[in-house]
Amino acid sequence: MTTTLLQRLDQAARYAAPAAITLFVVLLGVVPIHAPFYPAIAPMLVLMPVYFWTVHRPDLLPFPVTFAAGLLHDALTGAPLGLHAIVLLFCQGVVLTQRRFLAGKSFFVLWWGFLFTVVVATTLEWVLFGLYHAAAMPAEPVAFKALLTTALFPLPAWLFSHTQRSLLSGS
Amino acid sequence: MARIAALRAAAQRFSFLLLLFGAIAVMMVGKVDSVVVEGARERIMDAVAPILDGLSRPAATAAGMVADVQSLAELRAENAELRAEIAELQQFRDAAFRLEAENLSLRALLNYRPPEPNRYVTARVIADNSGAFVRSVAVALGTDHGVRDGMAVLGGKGLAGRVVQVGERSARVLLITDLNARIPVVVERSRDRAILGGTNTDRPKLAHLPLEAEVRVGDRIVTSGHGGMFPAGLAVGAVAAVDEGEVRVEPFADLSRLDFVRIVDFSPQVPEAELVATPGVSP
Repeated sequence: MTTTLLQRLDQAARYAAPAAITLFVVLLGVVPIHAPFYPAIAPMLVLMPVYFWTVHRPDLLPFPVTFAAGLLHDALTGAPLGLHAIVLLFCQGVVLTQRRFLAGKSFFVLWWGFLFTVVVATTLEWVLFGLYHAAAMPAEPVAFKALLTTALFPLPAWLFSHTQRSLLSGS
Repeated sequence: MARIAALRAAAQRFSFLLLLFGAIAVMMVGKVDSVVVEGARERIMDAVAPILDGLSRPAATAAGMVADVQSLAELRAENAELRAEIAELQQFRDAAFRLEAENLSLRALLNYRPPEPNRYVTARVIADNSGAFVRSVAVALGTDHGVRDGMAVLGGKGLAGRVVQVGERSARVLLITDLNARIPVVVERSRDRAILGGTNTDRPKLAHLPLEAEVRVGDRIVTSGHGGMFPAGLAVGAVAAVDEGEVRVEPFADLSRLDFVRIVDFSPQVPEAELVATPGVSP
């Protein structure tokens, strides 16, 4: 009986990993980097786990977790509360419709899919910020931000897939 | 079975739409009535402040090490530069002593009462939230340490921003580069008044300058004290570029590398609201 309980706890912890990682990445995203020029093009780190887990294990990243990650991101960064919840949920919805196409494909397909998602996310972010402040936002840093986010994707993706293989294989 | 799967899919779609509209609603409520939403934001910030504090320490150490190695390489050049600066500063010091003596004697003549010295507290930056759309940082001090809304925040060489939100042990500082930052300033040389407005870029711009104002590159920009938000005379930045009526200002404070900031209370002294220094950080 004890072993089954332990096993169940172990299973629960493994299943909680994608959601926990996503929330942790939000915190990681606001840690001061102390690099000049970085602020303007700071990558949207949280999009990476949301995209990755939505493609590979959407059952372990339910919508409420994405919503919470978006709210947490907004609360920490001082963005209008709810803005990134909209962006992340919308992206998750879009990726879910393309999941069949993306899952199990080579990494480059996954990367292309991510580029598409980043473009959708940053455009939506730009539009929402513009509407909220009723002012046109500078578009240049947004483009750099999208590029940097896409360029950085392979490393976290490798870490996530490692996590997936070691924690969630066979389930 | 098929029916259960269909029901589950419908429920999922429903929860998706519910959360999406929930998020939109939160954003709209925040726009209309910010008190509730800001309260929620403070509580979230307070809850994760200890985690962020822990995360920011190794990052600061790593950044410090990189800076150390860089400065090692430039040691010789830096030394020469500093010597030249010392020679220059020595003249300023002599002038300052002379002016102070003159000032004291003139004050004595006029029976002038100088303003009380300001109290300040040094705070660690635990989160750098600066992005393409927002320019702000979070610090690890809050109402528990006497920090209040609206206090001026100085970063190294000049004004960095203003406290816009305070929790019990964390506070958010809106940097002067943020789109929402508006600071009444004067051009120190000509005493022309203007408003320094952030643009979410590294260089905020001067707005509402008088038409006849003549601003040159290198002019110092200081706070004017109008509006009562900041005291007059705080160093803000220097004019970096003037073209076609657009004046860009380079802040004195290095806003991309804020490790510690000084939160200064410029309001008249209130005995019960003393600033308390952070444990482990000497102001």
